[in-house]
Amino acid sequence: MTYILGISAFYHDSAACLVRDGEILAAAQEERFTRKKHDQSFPEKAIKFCLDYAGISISDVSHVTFYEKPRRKFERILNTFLDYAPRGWNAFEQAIPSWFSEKLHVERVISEELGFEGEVLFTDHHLSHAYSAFYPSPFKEAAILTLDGVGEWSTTLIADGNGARVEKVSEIGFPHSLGLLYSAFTTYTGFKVNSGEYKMMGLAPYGEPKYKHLIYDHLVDVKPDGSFRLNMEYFPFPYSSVMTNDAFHKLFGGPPRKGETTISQKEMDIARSIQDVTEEIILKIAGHAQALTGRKNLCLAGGVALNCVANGKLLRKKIYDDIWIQPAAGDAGGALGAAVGAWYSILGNPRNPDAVGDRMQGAFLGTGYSDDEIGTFLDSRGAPYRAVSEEDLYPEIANLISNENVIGWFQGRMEFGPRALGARSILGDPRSPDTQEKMNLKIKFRESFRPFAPSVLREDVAEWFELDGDSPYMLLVAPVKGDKRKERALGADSVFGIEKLKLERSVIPAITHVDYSARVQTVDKKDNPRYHKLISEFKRQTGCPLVVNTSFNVRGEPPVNSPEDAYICFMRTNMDYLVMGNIVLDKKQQPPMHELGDWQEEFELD
Amino acid sequence: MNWVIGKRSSSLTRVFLGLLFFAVTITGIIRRTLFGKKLATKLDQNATTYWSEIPKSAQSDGRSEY
Repeated sequence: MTYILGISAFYHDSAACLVRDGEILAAAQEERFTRKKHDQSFPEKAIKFCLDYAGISISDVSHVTFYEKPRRKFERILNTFLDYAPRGWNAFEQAIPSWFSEKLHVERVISEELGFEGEVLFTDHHLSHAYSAFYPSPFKEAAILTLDGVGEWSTTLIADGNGARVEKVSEIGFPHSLGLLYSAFTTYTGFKVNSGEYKMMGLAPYGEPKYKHLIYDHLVDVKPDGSFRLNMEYFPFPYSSVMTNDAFHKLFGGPPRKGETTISQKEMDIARSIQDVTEEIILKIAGHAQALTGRKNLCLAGGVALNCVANGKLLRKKIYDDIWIQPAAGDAGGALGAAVGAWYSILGNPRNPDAVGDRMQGAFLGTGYSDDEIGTFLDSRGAPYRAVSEEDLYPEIANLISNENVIGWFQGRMEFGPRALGARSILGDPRSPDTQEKMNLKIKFRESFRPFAPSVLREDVAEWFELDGDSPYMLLVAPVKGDKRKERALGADSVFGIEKLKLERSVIPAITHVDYSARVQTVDKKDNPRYHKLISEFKRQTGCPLVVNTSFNVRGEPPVNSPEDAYICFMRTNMDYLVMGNIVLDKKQQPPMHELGDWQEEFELD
Repeated sequence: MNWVIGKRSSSLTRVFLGLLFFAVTITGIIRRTLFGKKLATKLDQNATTYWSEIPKSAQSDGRSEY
C-alpha cells in the first residue's frame, strides 16, 4: 500500500491529509487542535491525527507532498520588493525572517518535525487547488477553475481535467487577483482579511450596487473573456500589509470603517457593488474556460470558490451541465490536493470516477469519538448526562428543536473545510422568528446581520428552494421558493439596513436572507445518515424538512474538535442541550463551570 | 533572534534586514532603470485579453521545481 501525506502550512489554515492508494483516509486543519483560528503553523497535530487514524507511523509514508513551491513563491516576493523598493520596508522586515528560518527550508522542516526520510514533492499552489477540485469529483472530464489571493505567481488558473491528467491552460498572474480585490474591499468595509470576506458577502444583500461603476471605471479592467487587471494606483498590497491607499479612500468618499463600529448603508452598498462585480467576472471566466476546454462540467477551488452566492448564480446560469466545488476550497484543501495530486498526476496512477458520487465521504474526514470515550470524558468532569437509545434519540431531539431549543450536535467524524455539515453543528428551528437573533447574539456572539444556513433533506430541496441538485457542502446559495415567501412583510416599507433581517420574509425566517436567498446544504441519507434521520424526524413532527445549521463554535473560535471542546462551548453559551453520539446533556442540569477571567478574551474576534 | 512573522525582530536582525533591504533597493532601482518593472502593472485598454496561455512544455511535474 502507498501512503501519501499532503501538507499545507505557513500562511493560513495549515492542514494535513493522508491518502492511501488514492483513497482519502483522513484530513484535518491544525486550528481544530491548537484552538487558534486559521493557525498557520506546521500542522504537527493534524499530521499526528492522520497517521494515528490510519494506524501507521511516518516511516510507512512513501511521499510527503507540500502544497506549493516555496522558491518560486519567494522569487515572486523578491521581485515585488525589487519593483517597489524603497517602499515596502515594514512588509520586508515582517516577512523576510520567516522565509530564511523555515519557508525556504520546507524539506528540512518536514524532515526535522516528522523524522521523514523519503521523497518530498512540491506541487504548484494553484495545481494543488485544481487537484483538490478535480480528482475527488465525480467527473471523468471537466474544466477546472481556481481563484484565490495568490499562490507562487498565479492568482487565477484555468485547467483541463481528463481522467488522471490535469493540464494548466491559462492563468492570470500577481498582482492582478480577484481574491485580493475582494479582500481589499473586505478591509475597507471594516472586516478582517481571511475571515471577513464571508461577512461582506452576507452584508451585500442589504445594499444597492451604487459603486459598481466606480469599480469598473477606476479599479479593474475586465475583458470580455473574463481576464482582468487591477489598477495598482489604488492598491498598495504588493509592498504593504495595508490593502487600500489614500487614492482608494478618496474614490469611495472616506477612510475604511473601523472594526466593530456601526455598519452604515455605505458599507452595505459597497459590499453589494463588489459582490456584483465579482460575480460578473466569475461568470465571464467560467464561460471562457468552457470555450477553451469544451468540457461540460466545472470543478472549482481556491478561496474565491467559497463565495457561495457567486457559485449559485454560476450554477443557475447553466454554462455547465454540472458543477463540483471542493468543500475545503481554501488553502487547507491544498493539503488534500497535494496528496491526491501526487497519487494521480505525479505517480501516474489511473483514475476511475463513477460519475455518481464524489470521493470526499461527505467531507467527514476528521476526528471521531465513540460514546464510551464521550462518557468517560463527561464522567471525569462530573457532568450529568443521559444515554438515549438510537430509537428514541431522533424523536426526542427533533421535539426539542421544534420547541425552539438550541442544540449542540456533535456526531461522527469532524468536517474538513470551513463549513459545519452536521458533525460539529449547532441546530435550531428555522420556523421561529426568534431563532436568528437568539443564535447570533446569545450563542455565537457574532454580528446580528449575519444570516444562518439551512440543512434540508436532499429529497425535499426542490420543494423549498429554487435548486434541484446536490449541495452537500453548503457552497451554493439559492432563492427560497415563492410559495414559502411572505412577499409583503409587515412594515417592510419603513425598514432599512440591518433592521431588514428582523422582518419575517418566509415561513422559515431564521434562514431566509433579506433578498429571500439561503445558503443551502442538502443532506443525503448515504453520506450523513444520522443527520438525515434527525431532519426526517423533524419533518415528521412539523412538516418542515430542514433545520438551522451553524458551526459549533463562538465568534473567533475554530469549530469544536473534541468532546471537551464541545462541552466547554456548550457551557459558555446559551445552548439548551448538547447531543454527543447518543448522549444527551441538559443545560439546566449542569453544574456551573468556573473559569478564571473572561473566556471571551480567549479568542480574538475575527 | 525572533524569526516569527508579524512580530518585531531583534536589533541585530533589524540591522541585517536593513542592510539587505538597502541592497534590494539599489538593485531594484538599477533594474527598473535598465529593464523596467518585472510585474505587469499597467492597464492596456487596447488588449483583447489579459490571460497568459500556458504551453504544454511548461506543465509542472511536482518534482523538478522546489
